[in-house]
Amino acid sequence: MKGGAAMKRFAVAVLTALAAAYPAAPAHATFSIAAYDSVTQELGVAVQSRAFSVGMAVPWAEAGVGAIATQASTNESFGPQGLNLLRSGKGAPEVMRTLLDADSGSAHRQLGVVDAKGRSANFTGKLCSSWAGGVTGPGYAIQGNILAGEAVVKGMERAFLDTKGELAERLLAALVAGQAAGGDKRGMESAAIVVVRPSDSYPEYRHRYVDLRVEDHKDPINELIRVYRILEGQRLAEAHMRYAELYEKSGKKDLAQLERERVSESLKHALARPDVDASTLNGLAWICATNNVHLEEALKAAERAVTLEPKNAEILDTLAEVHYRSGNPAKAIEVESQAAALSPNDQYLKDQINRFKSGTK
Amino acid sequence: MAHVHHDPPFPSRGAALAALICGLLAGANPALASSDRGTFSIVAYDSVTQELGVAVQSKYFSVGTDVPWAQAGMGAVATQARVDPSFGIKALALLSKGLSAPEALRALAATDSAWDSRQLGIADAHGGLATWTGSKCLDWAGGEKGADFVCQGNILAGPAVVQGMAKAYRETRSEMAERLLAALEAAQAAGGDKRGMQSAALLVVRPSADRPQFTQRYIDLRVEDHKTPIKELRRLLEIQEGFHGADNHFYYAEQYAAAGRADLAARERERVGEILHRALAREEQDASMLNGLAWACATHDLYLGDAIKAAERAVSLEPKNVDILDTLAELYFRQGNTTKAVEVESRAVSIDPKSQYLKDQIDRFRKGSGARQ
Repeated sequence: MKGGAAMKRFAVAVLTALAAAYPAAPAHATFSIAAYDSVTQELGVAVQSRAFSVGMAVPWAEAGVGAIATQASTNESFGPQGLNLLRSGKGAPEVMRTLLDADSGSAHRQLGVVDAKGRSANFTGKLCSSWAGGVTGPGYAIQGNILAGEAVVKGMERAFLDTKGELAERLLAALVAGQAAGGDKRGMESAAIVVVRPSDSYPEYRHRYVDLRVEDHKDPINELIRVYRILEGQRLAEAHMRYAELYEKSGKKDLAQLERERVSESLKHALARPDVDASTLNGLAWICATNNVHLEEALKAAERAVTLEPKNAEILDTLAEVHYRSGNPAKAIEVESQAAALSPNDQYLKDQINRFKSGTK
Repeated sequence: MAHVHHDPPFPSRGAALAALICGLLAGANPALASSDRGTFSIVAYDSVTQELGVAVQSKYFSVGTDVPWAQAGMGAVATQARVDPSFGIKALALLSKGLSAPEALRALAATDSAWDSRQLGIADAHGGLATWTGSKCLDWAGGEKGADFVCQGNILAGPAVVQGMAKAYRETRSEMAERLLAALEAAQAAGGDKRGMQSAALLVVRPSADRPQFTQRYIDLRVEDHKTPIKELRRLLEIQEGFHGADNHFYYAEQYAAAGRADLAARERERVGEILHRALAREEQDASMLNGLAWACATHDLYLGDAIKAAERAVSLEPKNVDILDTLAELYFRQGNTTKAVEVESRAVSIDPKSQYLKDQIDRFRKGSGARQ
């Protein structure tokens, strides 16, 4: 993407056909990973750069179609054009060649493409500033330019392959490893992650399953992980329960189980965070309670939420619900009575106590 | 349990889902209670530039993931209150089939069981507009339709919030992104979301044949989790204008000029002048942003006076930066002040004596040739 005056000059120079004056592809130090998860059919891109708002330019993805990272002297049109070509049925290597063949500036470009069958390809133009290059494997393409060295992309690959869990976790682990290996020579400014996932019931996931940005920040990768942890405890946990239900309905019990395990992982991440907030814990505990999963961890989460906000009737209600679901109605009634004492006019809380007493679901 | 409203009449969509999954009849789901989300937004269409845009602020995390949707040539949508993000995609699909904004709104209503709790704003690419506030949206909730925009909000301090948005959009004389952001700022100044602030987003799309990315992301900025998200969005837009805005406007100026629309081309160039003027007025601190803007003006022989001010400011911020000195030299040269140009470029050479480019520049200034080789 564009950033810095040097790029501005480059863009303007090209525009006015005065390109000779400036060295090409100057300001686009960036590293990215595009990847596919064959089990969940998620496609995603994660990227970090020393340029403003890298998320606006580099990552493009659509469920069932593909994921693209376009960078170096960025030709942003590769994103939408590449997705169009992938949609027409062409594979990642062919799409990449088609895009580059039509581009007179291809020597300055860097591109990674992964399609919805897991085929991958990447390209580093010979005029990209060093170190520039990439690696590919089944279901992933990793690439960067103006890097500290090849160790950056190798480290990203290692982290992506070694990290367990959902695609977003593995993409973020790759960014962390890239930075740890020296990252972008010029430092950091912005980061982004996009993950898309097929769904008929929730078509928004096809475009924005995970879609988070850090536009201008001193420590963009850590900030991206911070906001991802918020998403994970809220909308992503909700999404996992939705997919679990859909998989159950279609008889894919193993996949449903995997989705529920993702929520358990989210709970573990939340419990491991010293700065976790009560609302995240409460939300996760409630999702687990109402789905009768991970009740032991949910109990820990709800208890910690109560410690953080002891006078919050809603959090007490969550804890009571978890106790009840865990087969401990006496504890449930005791805790819900504390909530009722805080909020004596709340009919819902009284109904809850009656429900716990009668033993109905 | 729900931190917002657990009681009927409207358990959250998440709770309904949880009930479906487990067959339980318990109250709302706290993780999802926020699906009744206090939010204000504005959706607009500019018939001259054909830009479509959405700006939004809310007291929940990453509002930009759910609320704003837009595609050039089709429309722009804000879906909020008890938010169903799929309305964004569905509305755009309906608009692409040729339905107007009001028709698309009616089509969505016809298939929705929780329509009373929804809030939507839609603008189509032909000037059609629609805004909807369900009777069960939480107080204060409502919207307003202008000539070329709709704005709407819920869980607001009062009707003044929506009125303020409308007034600011109408009265701000600038490009769409500036007007949308001015509307958010006015809404916040009028009390905003009763519950406070957490996230904001700005999305503008614009037709372009050879830059198809603009049809999805002409300006696309996010603030996911911040104490003052609108202020942060303003800061980001200022950076965006410096790094991309000038280039984008010059691009459209050339497109319009090639199509014989000299008036529209002139307007695009004026936008660059406005960006430059705003940067100088706020005493911009980012040297590379100033430098980029100044260079863009130099190479287009436009606003040379203001561009010199911007470049001089950049030099004062980073006196040892050769690129910035070169920009200032180039501007003096373009202005006809060869002596100053050579003097400034010589300072650059003394910092980077090995640069052949800088020496070539000095030769060029001395020869007085109008264009760079």
